[in-house]
Amino acid sequence: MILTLFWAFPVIGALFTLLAPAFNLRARWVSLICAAMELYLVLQAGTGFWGGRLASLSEPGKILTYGISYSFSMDGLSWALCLLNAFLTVIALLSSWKQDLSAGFWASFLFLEGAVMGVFLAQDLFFFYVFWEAMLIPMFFIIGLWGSENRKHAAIKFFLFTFFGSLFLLLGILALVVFHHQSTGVWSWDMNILRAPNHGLYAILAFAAFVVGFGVKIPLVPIHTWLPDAHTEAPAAGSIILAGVLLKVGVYGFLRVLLPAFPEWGMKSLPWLGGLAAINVIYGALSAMAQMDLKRLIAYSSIAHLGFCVLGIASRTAQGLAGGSLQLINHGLTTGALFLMVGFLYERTHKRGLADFGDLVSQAPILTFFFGVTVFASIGLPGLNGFVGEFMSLSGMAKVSLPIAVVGVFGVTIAAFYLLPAFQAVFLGERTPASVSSRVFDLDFREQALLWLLIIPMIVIGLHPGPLLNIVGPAIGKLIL
Amino acid sequence: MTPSALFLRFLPLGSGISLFCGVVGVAFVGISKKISAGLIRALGLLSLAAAAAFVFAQPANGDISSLLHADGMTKAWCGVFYAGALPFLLAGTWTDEVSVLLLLGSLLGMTFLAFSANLLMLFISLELLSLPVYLLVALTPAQGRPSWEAAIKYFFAGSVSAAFFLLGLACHYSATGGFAFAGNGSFLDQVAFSLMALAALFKIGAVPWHFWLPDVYEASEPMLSGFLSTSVKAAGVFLLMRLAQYSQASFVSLLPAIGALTMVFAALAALNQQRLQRLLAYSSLGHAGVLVLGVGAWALLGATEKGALPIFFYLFSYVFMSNGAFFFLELTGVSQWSDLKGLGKKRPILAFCFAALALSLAGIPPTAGFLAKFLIFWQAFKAGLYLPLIVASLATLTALAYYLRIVREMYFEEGSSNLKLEKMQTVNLIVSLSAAYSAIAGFLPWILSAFQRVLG
Amino acid sequence: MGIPFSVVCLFAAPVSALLFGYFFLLKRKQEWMHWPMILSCAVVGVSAASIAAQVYSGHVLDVSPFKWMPVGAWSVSFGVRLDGLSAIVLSLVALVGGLIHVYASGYMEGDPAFGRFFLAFHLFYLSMIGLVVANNYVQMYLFWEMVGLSSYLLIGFWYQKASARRASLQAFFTNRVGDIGFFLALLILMNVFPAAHARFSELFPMLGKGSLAISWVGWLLFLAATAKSAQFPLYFWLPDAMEGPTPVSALMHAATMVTAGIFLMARSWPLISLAPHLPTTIAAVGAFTAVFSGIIAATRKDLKRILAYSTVSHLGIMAFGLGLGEVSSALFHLVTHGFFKAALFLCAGNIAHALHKSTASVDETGGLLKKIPVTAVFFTAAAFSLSGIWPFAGFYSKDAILGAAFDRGGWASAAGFAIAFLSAFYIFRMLFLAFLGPRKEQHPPEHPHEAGPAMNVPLFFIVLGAIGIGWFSAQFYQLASSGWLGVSPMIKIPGFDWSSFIRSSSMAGLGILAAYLWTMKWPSFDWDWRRNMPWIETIADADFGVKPMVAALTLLVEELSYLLGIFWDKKTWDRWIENTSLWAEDAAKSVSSLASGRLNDSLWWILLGGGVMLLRLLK
Repeated sequence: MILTLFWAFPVIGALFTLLAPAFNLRARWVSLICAAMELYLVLQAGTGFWGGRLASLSEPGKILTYGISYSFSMDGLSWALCLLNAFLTVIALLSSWKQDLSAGFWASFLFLEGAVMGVFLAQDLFFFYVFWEAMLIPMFFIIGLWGSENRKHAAIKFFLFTFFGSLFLLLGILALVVFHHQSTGVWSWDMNILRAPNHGLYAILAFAAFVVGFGVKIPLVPIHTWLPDAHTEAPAAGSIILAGVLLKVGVYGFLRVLLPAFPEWGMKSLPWLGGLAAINVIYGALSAMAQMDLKRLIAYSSIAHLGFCVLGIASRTAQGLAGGSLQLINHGLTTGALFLMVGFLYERTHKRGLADFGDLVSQAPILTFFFGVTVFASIGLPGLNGFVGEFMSLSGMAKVSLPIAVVGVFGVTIAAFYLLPAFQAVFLGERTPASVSSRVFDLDFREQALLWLLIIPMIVIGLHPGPLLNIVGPAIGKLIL
Repeated sequence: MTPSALFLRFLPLGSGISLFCGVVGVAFVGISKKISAGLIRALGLLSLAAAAAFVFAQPANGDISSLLHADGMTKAWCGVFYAGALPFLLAGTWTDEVSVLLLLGSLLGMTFLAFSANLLMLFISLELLSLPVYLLVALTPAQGRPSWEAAIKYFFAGSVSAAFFLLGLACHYSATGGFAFAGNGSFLDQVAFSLMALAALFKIGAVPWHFWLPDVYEASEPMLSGFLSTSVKAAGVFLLMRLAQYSQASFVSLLPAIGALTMVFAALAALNQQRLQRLLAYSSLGHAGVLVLGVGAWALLGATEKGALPIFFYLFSYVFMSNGAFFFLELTGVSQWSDLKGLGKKRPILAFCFAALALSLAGIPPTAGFLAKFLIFWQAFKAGLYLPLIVASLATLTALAYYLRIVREMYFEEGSSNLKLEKMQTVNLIVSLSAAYSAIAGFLPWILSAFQRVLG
Repeated sequence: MGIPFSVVCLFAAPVSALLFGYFFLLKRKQEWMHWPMILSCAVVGVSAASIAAQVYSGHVLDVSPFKWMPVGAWSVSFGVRLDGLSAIVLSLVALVGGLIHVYASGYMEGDPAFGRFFLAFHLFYLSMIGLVVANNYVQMYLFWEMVGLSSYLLIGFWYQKASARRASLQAFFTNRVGDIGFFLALLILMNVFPAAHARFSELFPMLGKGSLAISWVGWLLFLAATAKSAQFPLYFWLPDAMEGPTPVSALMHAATMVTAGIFLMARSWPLISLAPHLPTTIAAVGAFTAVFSGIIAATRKDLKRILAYSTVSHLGIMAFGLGLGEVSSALFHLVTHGFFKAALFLCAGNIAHALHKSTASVDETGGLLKKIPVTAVFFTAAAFSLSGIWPFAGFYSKDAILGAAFDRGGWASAAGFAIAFLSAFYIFRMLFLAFLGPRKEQHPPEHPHEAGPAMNVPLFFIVLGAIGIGWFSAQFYQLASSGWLGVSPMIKIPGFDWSSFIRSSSMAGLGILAAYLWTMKWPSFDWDWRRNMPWIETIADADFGVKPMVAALTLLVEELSYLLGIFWDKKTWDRWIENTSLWAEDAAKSVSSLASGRLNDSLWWILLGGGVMLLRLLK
């Protein structure tokens, strides 16, 4: 039952949060307490994973109708991602603490947290899909209700676009289940059992459907254009979760569902996947360079960073898979921190264009420091977390295909070309009316604490990723070629 | 024959008898003119409850007589028929006893439809269930606008449908020399089944035999539209399934295409509707498309009784979704998009209910609509209907656009709508319950086994 | 294997100084910021000295105590390798760096960002130490990048100036381009020699001759070194990087940071020497860089820019020497250059300080000999050292390289002549212009003040080094070759050799003479040619076309990104996707128009549908 608790607890918490005003309770406090308790739960469950003592934690599945079974399991990879989810939810809630928001806002995040937990834990594809889609609804409201000017359009676009991908995912899942039934005569939705046939047109099509289905969430170029709009229009907390957690489920799907289920195609397609990822890296980075809006820029940088994750995973080597998984966490931390800080700026000035700011350092030196550190982590400066993931991913890819790795290395380089000028334009640069307005003041205690919470892991992972790799390692070990 | 044996013999007919008694009772009570609407409603409910009890107390499946036959589908569909009518009966704004009488009469026809053991019986019960509905449409107009035009259209459509069915029946008789379901596979017999299936598709409103449907649904009182889109449509689906079950005709292979086409048509046509009731009518058309697709898949997979679960579950869930949505319109008097604006702030619970219903109609997890659609898609995939499935998926995506617009108008737009929001406790309860079921049923595949048990 | 305390100190002292400084001093007492840093420099200096002594006596330390990225068999560790190479550069960094810390505490006094300056400065110091003691390539890359980061912070220290911001970005970007090479080399090394874990001591013995992968790695590492050590064509960031405060220029762009590339090549020499044609290419690129930037240095007016181009030139000389196989001589030049260039920069800093500016042009100087004589003396000594005049330090190292070049003959000896002439020429032109005169075009300050002891005392020690360090070439060689991993032993630093002495000294003498004629015989010549032949200056300003090329390339990338990120992604592709909703609406309109509501039309539809169904029967 403990695993059910993981997803159910935030959902119940969300209901409590919704009801809180009726009992004269502060909704934000209720939500925060729930999120903190959830974080504690996850941490508690993880004690077994430290040092690789426990490979996985699972609940015996209960077969329901049509072979659909209610089964959940947690291994090192799921745990790490659950932890990221629980952690970033707390950060996201606290990031909007001072804003005057209704109970629905706070509850949405808990709903979202619960749904994402479900995705990371479900072993049954039916429930996987249900949780996968259920993520859309709270995010839709978060963008549409509490976003910035163009929020309505962005929310609808987000929903329709990602639902488009989900339809492919659904078709892929159905195909997998039907294939399994054809060969064994048994209905099963268990992702640990389902295997596609090794050849045949339909197997290829099903594989492609999965790639599209997961690819929209990652997002893979060219099915990525929902992301800049969604990130830009979402409120800061929403962007944190969207970039920090929601983009991860696509790659997680690659790791958990796609590669194990298509042993043959998973192998044959490696160069293709790697190529797609390399395109992502370059495309995202070059596009980011042209952006004049901070959030848009970070959004495009996410496309590039997720490209590294896929790159590592597509290599299917020990270091590549570990690096790709690590990069998921890294990206959650760095991009989460970047969106958090842009959110602080937006809260103060209601602006987020690169040209709107300049010389913020004179008003907010502490913010500048944090932003700088995060930017360098995002660039992939060794010693901070970004490098470890990127290096391991690329090292894995180099073993499989050196040309693709070369493209990836160019991507690493270009990362500096868009993030640093943006950093300079906003924090150094010439003064602008917005940046010297009296509304700009340096971070208060809460904000600093939040950023420390994000930055310390960045440094720790950058210098000592070993424990995390040990936790994630066994989970992905079976994928290694 | 001992009394107990007599009783056992008539037990299968109990539901029909109780509904008939209800009709007669209401008619007699209505004559006195002094009896309150409450009593009429109570009588109706009582006969409905008795009918349901008889259906489910049904001891064994099999032939009851040469005309009547019971199996798992009979029970299941009777359940759907009654459940679809229940809200209307509970909350209908009656002016006289005639509506209840008509409703019960229609349900009587449906019951016999479900129990039919041959094609002739099928035809008779089809007419029996249709005639009261035409009158209901005429007598229960939406917001005082006369609905004779819609009623006539409906009647016309129904007549054409009946004509086709009769023609098919005649062909069947000349081919096989009887009215039994089973055909002999001759060409004439195949023509016969195709003609009869045409009638069924007409009844369901599949494209291109749909033209009457939006007009009728729009012109009727929303609550009646709820009944039309659930029970009456379920009757059409049942008819189609019975035909598909016994025929070797090739119309079955057309059903997936027709279903997918209907979904696309409905999704597109709904996109630029301004009136919400018409929008919901097209939404209902879209769901009819899914059902036709499902029937096609079911038939291709062998048309077993057990295999009917996805369609049964779909219809059952749709009873909640559709009734909930139409009753919401009734409750709030919302007719235009602009009426929805700002509802999320003003009436959060109501808005939440409608949003849940809309998302369920769209088929987003974890709603009931998702699980239902999911099962149908799964069946279709199993049957190898890849192309119709892809078309259906795209149609679902398109349809999502207007369902999302509902949510958007309610939550994201500012507005000060002056809704009537009368005190209608029953309607309120129906909307809330429907929304509650719709919102979470998709996450509970457990309940499927209960449905399976009904099917036997 | 235990780690000696001195090695622990190398990291522990700077890290704790930085943490203490950031968390305790920055807010409250930033004017005290230099104290923990100087203390840490002292600790590091002592440790470095003891390490050097150990290595000198033949004790090489190579341990990998921590795993950094462990994934099964594939892993990268943290470790230290203390052999001759690292001990030498470590000592240089510790000593010169420490002295410049002291100098900077005087130079930067009263700066509003005093605390930030020392934090970044010390971070750089730490990175450089880490770079030289790393025992594997990946760890080296870590510190290599941190050197890049701290140089970015320091070049852009006066971020209020647009030029400083630009220069810092340019420096970081150019280095980043070079890092592509390093990164790729890492990837190849980790995959081709997985068992070595990129560790020098395990990797180098594994190398076989002529493997394609090895030569790729060699070329790629050379690319990295090209950017970091400012070789042509990736040199252009270095002169612009003079935007930082002068101690920064002295520390990073003269004595230490740019030498990281040379250090990398020396470290990788066992590998590079195996790549066909690579050593020759390195020598050629180095020679070209040396001559090319020497010429540009001779045309500059800004004192720090002259020195910057001179640095580029000397880095070219080192690469030249390395390419010729003279690893020890190149290293030796690295060390002597570290001393005399730091001295020159600090003298330039003294001048700028006297002028209360961040940098000075020759227009604002002239006749400084009388006004700040101490600086003038220091400068002269360092200038002699740079020109390679016996017995100054520069002579011993440079002459060794030039000697090898003369032995090689052909283009190498021509380049040797040019280098010897040019370096003497530009530095003495600068000396004469700044300290003698003033000429009528010059407007020196009325009452400049000599710098205080905080600046001049460390400068004095550096100048001492610039004078005398060359006398210890034998000891230097012994230290350098301790723990050498090369297949063939390190080539000895040649002793005093008359033939090369005569050739190089005569060229240097010619250079000094030419400078004398240029500046003293025709005092206005430097201004006249600019007035009369402005096109020469235009060409020289553009670095013979390199700068416009870089600008064009930058523009190209910007245009490309606009084309992709805005024009294609947003305005074409995304618009197309969004337009699908419009198409759906169009389709919806046409579909709605079908539903006319007339019974007639419906009948046709019914017939059509029925017809299809019946036709289906015919198959």
